[in-house]
Amino acid sequence: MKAAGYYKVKRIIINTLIHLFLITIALSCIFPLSWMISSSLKTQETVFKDMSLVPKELHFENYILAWKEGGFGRYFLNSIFYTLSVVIGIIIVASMAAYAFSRLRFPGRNLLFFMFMAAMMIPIPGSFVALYVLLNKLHLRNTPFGYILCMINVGLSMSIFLLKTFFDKLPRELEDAARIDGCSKFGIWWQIALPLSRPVLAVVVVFNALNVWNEYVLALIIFDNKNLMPLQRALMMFQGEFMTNYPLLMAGLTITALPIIIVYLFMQKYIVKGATSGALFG
Amino acid sequence: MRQAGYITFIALTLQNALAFLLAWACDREIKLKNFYRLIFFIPPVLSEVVVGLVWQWILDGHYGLLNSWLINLGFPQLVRNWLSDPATALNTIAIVHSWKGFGWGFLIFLAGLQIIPRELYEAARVDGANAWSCFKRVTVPLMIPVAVLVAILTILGSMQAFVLIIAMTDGGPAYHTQVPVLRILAAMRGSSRFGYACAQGISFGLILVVISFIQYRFSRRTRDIT
Repeated sequence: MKAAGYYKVKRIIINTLIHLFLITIALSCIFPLSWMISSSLKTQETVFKDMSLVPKELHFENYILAWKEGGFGRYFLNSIFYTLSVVIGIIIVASMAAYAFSRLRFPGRNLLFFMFMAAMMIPIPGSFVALYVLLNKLHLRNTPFGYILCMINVGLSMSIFLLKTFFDKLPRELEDAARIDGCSKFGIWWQIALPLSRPVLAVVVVFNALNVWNEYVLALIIFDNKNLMPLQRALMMFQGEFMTNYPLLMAGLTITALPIIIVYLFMQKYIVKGATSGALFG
Repeated sequence: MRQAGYITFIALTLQNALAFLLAWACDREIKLKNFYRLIFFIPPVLSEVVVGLVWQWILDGHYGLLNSWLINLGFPQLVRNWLSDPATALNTIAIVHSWKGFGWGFLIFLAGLQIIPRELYEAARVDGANAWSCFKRVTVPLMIPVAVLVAILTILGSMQAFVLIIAMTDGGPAYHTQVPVLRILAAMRGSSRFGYACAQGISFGLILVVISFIQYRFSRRTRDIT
């Protein structure tokens, strides 16, 4: 009896220590974000003195200021527009390509697929100078179209890979049945393969949307025109211009980060899946 | 290059040790497991710009939260200009980088730990192993491929980390936090030497491709994790 009690106490102590450790780290993950929101609700005078997490007066006008005067409304719409276009582009191109790689037999198929996978290995830092020159020559620099094309290209390899692995596992009997019923190849792709691949498509959509929303490097290279910039690029510009207006900057940061956090909380499953399979492709 | 190497080193040791410890703690039957997993992956989904600017504000030399805490807790001698003091700038960046990155390692480690069959532990227990030798003889050998994978991913990610640095110090003070990608950008945008920048980019890219190729070989072995 005494031994049982001893083990029970020991287990409780160990569990408490583990929880303490986990909670400390979890707090350190959340804290900078709450500090960001808290700072965005102070004024230019109080932000340097008031070090409390919950400010005494809440100044929501920072958000209105950032949205209107700071131009974040415009950048926000830009970001949404780029994200939507890129994700739609990726779905169309990647699902068709993946379906072709998985089902059609044509000469050079394996070579082409291998090239797509190899492209995934080339890191952006190794290629952006060439990309800059290329876009300049094509007169696509400083245009939304150029940026969207580049970003589609960035997300393509992994999306094709994910979708192809899924299509490979899909039973062919369904498609055979559709073909007997007189469905064209295109029809099979549209009416059977796409609807069935919804779970993978969700991963592809969420993962790429996050990627585009958080993208900074290409936006830095491609855009000079302030009116075309997405949020991440605009934030850095803003920080350069209004160095010390922290409440406004923090409001801008919150505007940028909040959609991501909300999407993450709702789509956690897909993001985690995309993250792990993106890391472990091969 | 040395700075990037240093950041990578810190990320490899500190960040991955933390990630592994957290994953190991989360691997047992404890409450709130999913909650912790949810929280730990928040920093990785945020953009580097957001993370960099928020931390820059917290670490600010004159009005930053960290310094004001240090004073209130009675350590005024520790107060410094974290990001513009050459002695601390690089360390600070490496730590913030690890803060942003450990969620990845955590996820992969956790996935790896969870596919270790429970029967192995039970068998070890029956054979009279205590908790420590269970860990040493069962967990560690089975986790080595996963650890190698995480290590390579960390190297790849940390060598390329630069947006965070742009947001926090922009390579300063006096090039103390300069990394290869920033050099390429500077050669391209600052002095318009495209040939030079391109050559830098390609040599740097080649190094990374070699590393990812090693990773590709390893990931074939560990693909059954997900």
